[in-house]
Amino acid sequence: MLDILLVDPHELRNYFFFEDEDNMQFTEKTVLAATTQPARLIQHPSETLNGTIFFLLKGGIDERNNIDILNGAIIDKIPEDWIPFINDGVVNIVVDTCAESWSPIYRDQYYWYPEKECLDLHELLTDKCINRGINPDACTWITGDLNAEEYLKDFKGVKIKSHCIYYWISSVMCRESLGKDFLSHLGEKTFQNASLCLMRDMHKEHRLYTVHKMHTDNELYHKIRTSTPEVFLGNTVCDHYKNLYHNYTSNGFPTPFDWDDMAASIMKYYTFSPYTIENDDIDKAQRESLFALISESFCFGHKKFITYSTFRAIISCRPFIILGNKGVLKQLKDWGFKTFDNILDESYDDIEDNFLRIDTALNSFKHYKGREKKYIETFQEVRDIVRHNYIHYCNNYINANDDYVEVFRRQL
Amino acid sequence: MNELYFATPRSGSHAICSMSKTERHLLEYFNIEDMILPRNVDGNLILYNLIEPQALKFLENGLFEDAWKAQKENTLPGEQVYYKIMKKGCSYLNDKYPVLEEFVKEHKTRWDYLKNEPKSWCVKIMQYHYVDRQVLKEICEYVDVIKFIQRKDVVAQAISIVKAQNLPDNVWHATTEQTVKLTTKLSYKPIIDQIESILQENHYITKVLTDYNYKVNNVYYEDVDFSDSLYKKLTIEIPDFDTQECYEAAKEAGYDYTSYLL
Repeated sequence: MLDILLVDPHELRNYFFFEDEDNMQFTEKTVLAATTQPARLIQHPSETLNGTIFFLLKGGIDERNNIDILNGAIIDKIPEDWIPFINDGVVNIVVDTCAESWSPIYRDQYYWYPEKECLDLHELLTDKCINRGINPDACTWITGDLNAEEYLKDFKGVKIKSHCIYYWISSVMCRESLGKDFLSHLGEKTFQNASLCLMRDMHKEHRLYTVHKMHTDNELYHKIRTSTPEVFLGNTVCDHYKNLYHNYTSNGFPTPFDWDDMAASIMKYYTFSPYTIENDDIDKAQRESLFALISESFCFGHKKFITYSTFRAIISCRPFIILGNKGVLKQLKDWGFKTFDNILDESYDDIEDNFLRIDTALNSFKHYKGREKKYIETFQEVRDIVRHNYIHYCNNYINANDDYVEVFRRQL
Repeated sequence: MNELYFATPRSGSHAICSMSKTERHLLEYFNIEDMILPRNVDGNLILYNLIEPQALKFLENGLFEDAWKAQKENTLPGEQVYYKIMKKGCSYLNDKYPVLEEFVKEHKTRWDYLKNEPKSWCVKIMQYHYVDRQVLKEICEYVDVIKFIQRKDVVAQAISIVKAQNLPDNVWHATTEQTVKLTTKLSYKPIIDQIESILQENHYITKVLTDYNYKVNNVYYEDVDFSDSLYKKLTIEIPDFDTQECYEAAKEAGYDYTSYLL
C-alpha cells in the first residue's frame, strides 16, 4: 500500500483512478494514475507511517496546478508542521512530470532552434526546499526525459529519476490494439501503403518539418499515409507553419527551410486534409501498412522522451522508423527490443543534428532494403523481429513501473 | 454432494455457480482450449497475434486435433510464451506447447482426477467446451444433481452477449458491480443470430440431459437472488440503443419473448 499525502489536492480525478467515480473517497481501491498499486490518502503524516507528498504534472503548463509545479511553488504549500516528518525521513516528496516531456536544460550545447519544455526544475526544487528548511534529499523529481538521471548524476540537491511511464501505460492506452490480429493472413493485398505516420499535435515543429520533407519529395509523398487533424488547438496546419516560421525568425534562429517552398508544400498538404484516421481505424490502417513511421511526441532537443506512439507500433507488429530524439533506438535495444537494421539504415539514431536526423530517417525509409520487392516479401524479412518485440512487450510491460513504485516506497 | 451445471453464455452461470455450497467451484475446468492459446508471462493477456485464425475456427467447432495442428505451425521454438494447463484440479502456466496425445485426451484426464477428488465440487459445462461424449456421459451419471441454467428472456440474453462481445477487453465476469459505457453502435442482426445460437445450445443441453431428467433442476436467471454471489452484474450501456426495438426485431424474425415481459 502506498501512503500518499496530497497538498492542494484539487482536481483529484487527474491524480488517481477511482473504483467509484461518484464517490471519490481515497480507499484501498484507489490507485495511482501511473501504477496498479493501491494507494491510500493520509491526511497528516505520523511517526509510524511512511508516506509520500505527491505532485503530479499532467497536461500543459496552463492546465490544473501545473504552473505551481513548474515554478516550485508547490514546496511552499507543504504545511509547516509536516516538515519535521520530512526531515526525519518519515515522509518523502515526489514531483512527477514523467507523463510530459519536461527535462533539464542541457548545458554546453549549441542551440540553434527554440528549445521546448526544458526547465532546471531540480535546481528550483532544491532552492525551495532549502528556503523552507526541508532536506532536499527527501525530494525526488521523476522526469520522462530518459537522459536526465545520467546527466544530473553528480547534482547535489533533490534526487532525479528518469522514467518512461509509457512503457507500462501503453498497455492501457492501446488495450484494443492488444486484442487485435496484425500477423495472420497477411498477403500481397494486405499492404496498401508502404507506411503509416500518425501526427496528432501538428503544431510541433518536427512534425511540420516531416510533412514539408514528405511533400517536397515525390518518392515519399506517395508512400506514406499520414493522419493529422484538420484543426488542432484552433489552428490549421497552415497556421501552425506560419507560427513556427515566426517563432524561428523572431527569436533570431535560422529557419530550417525556405519559406516559399515550405508554404507551397504545406498548402498542397492542407488541400488534401483532413487525413484524419478515426481511432477505430488506426489499427486497420496500420495493418495495411508495411512500416510504422513513428512521429514521436518529441524529436528536437537533447532530452530522450518515448511515448505510446513507439509502443503502439510494437504492439501492431510492424517494423518502425522513429522520428524522435537521438538514441531512442538504442534505448529500445537496452530494454531488450530488436530493431530493423537488416532492412533499414539505422544510423539516424546517432545523429546529433535534429533536422539531419529526420532527413536521414526519411532517407532510410526511402531506401529500405527490398524496396523493389513486394511488401509482403519485405515483411517476411522482419516477421521474427516484430514477433519478438510483441512478445517482449507483453511479457515486460507488467514490471516496467516497478522502479517507479520504488520511489514511493523508499525508506529514507 | 457433487453438482453439474449446464449453461449458455450470459445466463448468470458464473454468479450462480459461485453460490454453490460445494467445496470446490470448477467453472472453466473443462475448457481445454487454453492449453494451446499463447499468453504472456503472467497469463493475463492472450497473445492474439500469435494465434492462427484457423486454429480458432477449429476450436469453435470442437475440432481439437485440427486446432492443435494449426496452432502448432504458428509456434516458434524459444519464444517466451505460456499456456494454461490444469494439474490436480489447479490451473498453472507452462511454457511448453502440449503434445497432441495429451491434448486430445485432456477431458478424460481432468475427469479421471475429478471423480477421485475427495472434496465436494461443482463443475460448469458449456457447449463450446466440446467435452468428450464418453466423459460427458460419465459425469452426468456420476453427479448427484444437474442444474440447467437458462434465461427466460432470451432476447435480453442475446443483447447481453453482443454487448459483451463489444467490450474492449472482453470483461465477461465482474467481481464488483460496475457499469461500462460503450461507444460502438450495435446493429440488430447479430442479436438475432445470437438468439438462434442460444436456442441451439439449449436444445443441445436438453438432448444431452434426456436420460438424466430425474436429477435435473431448471434454474432461471430471472428467479435467482444474486445478493450472495461473488460475481456482480456488469451493466453495459450503449448510447442510442433501443432495447424495445430489439424485441420488435426479434419478433419479426419469429422469436417473440414479449410475453415474458408482460
